[in-house]
Amino acid sequence: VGSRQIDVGTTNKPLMAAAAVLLLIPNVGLLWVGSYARVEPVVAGFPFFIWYQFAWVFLCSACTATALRLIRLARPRRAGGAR
Amino acid sequence: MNAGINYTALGVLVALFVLVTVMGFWASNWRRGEHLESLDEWGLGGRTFGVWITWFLIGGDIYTAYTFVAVPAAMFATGAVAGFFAVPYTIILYPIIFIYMARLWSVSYRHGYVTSADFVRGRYGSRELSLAVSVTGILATMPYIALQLVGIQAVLEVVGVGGAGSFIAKALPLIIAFALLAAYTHSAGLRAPAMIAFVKDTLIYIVILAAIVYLPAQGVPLNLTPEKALTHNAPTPGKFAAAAGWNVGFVLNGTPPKAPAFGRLLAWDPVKQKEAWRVEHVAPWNGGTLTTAGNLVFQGTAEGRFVAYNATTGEKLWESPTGTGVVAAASTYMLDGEQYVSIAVGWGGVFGISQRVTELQSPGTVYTFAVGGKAPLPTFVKYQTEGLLKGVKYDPKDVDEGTAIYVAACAQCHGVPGVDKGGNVRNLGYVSTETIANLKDFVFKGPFRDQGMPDFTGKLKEEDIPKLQAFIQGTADAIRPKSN
Repeated sequence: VGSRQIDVGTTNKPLMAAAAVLLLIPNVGLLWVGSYARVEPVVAGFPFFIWYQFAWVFLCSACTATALRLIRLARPRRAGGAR
Repeated sequence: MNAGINYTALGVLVALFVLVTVMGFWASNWRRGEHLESLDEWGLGGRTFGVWITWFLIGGDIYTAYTFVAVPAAMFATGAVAGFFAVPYTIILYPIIFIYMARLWSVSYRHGYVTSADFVRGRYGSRELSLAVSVTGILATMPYIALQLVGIQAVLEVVGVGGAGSFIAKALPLIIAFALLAAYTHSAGLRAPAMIAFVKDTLIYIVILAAIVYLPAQGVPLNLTPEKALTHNAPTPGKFAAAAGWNVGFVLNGTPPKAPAFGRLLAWDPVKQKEAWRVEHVAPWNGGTLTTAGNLVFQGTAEGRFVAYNATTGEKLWESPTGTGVVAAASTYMLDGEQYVSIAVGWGGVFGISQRVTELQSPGTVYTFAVGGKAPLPTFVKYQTEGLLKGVKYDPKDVDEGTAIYVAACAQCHGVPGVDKGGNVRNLGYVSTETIANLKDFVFKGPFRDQGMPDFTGKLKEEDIPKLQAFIQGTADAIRPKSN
């Protein structure tokens, strides 16, 4: 189902794996609640539980943005390919 | 709550609503494609939204009544931590959709799918499955739309429109607002929400700045929320001082002070507009000052001293014990060439009801001082803080319920048993075993009514008494040093 597009050049597998890891990191960091369910260290009055999660807003953006760049490097542009 | 129309808020609301409505209708002409009637155009904006517009659209879609009403309400009801799931959930959404959304987009683009039902039908060739996906989508959106309506209703009530009266009066502004929303969405499709998302996202940034910059800068330690379900004097368990008549129709959202309560005497130079000197006291709630032409400042303190300072430097020149805390200011006068300073000492006030700083409880007295005066001070009376309450029988199962009742009925004046020292009103952790054992006789038509203790007849029930006894004796037992 669906017309497969023809790759122009081969996919760089290590780069793709690196991108997959980058996408996995935020999931582990946030779903493993036990690792951050604590008060110390408090930063600017915010318990660790709060600021740790908020920090992931920026860390996760960095992860997805880097993953996007890696994937574009790993897979040379496809004709008509969506991004 | 319904204090009439807030015209400023209503003006802002109407102006924004007009702006959004005009933009919504105008959006049908925005980036218009060639095939105006196609579902692609209506539902997907002709698939021509780039990264920039999509960013705003997604922002406007995520941060909605869910963010501003549902999540804060859940956190208010169940605690900040319980409601915090929304943050990690929204974050990990992005790496997850990163994986399949791009693929979904390109497949849908190539095959001309508009909805997820189209996609399912194209992939699996099943009309039934496609229909099931459509129906599920519609049903799942219903509570979300209901939440939007609740949000609009709440906004209208805050500005004083549609809050009360008949069903029509209540619902009419909401119906008008929603009809306009529906009308421009019908005519412009996804273009309307995409265009309005720019306004919406801007408003969200204003709200965020107001919440994290403007509001904290106001330094409000205590704010009040109107309490709609108020019954005056209702002894609502757990609601502080409710049974003692201290409920005024507002919920006190107090934040604990960052620094412990302090007291200080501060001399201010009004010409230089700055502090000249200061004296730190051990507690708040000290007396007023008397300043003399002889360059002295007199002040009584919470811990029971009467002190004279050098008015220029703040240096302590003289002091006398007073046998109890001092709240009043001193006065001075001259009689037959002799200068006298008089001070009325005695403890009291809101702070003094349940708190004290002295270990003494001499009665309220007027002392008069003169240079060369020879009258001796009386012997001071020590305050009883020994002998933590013991021996009242109770069932430990009653302690939790007793805590809530105590908070509503007793804590305001009696403080925490055994923890606070007691002020003008005795702390119940340091009264006799008989007093607490016979608590009923003090609570209902008790002997202290003529000294200001409320009669709790009709507010508390007889079955509340064992629960209160459980909390009072339980707390005293809990804080008793283990070695005794």
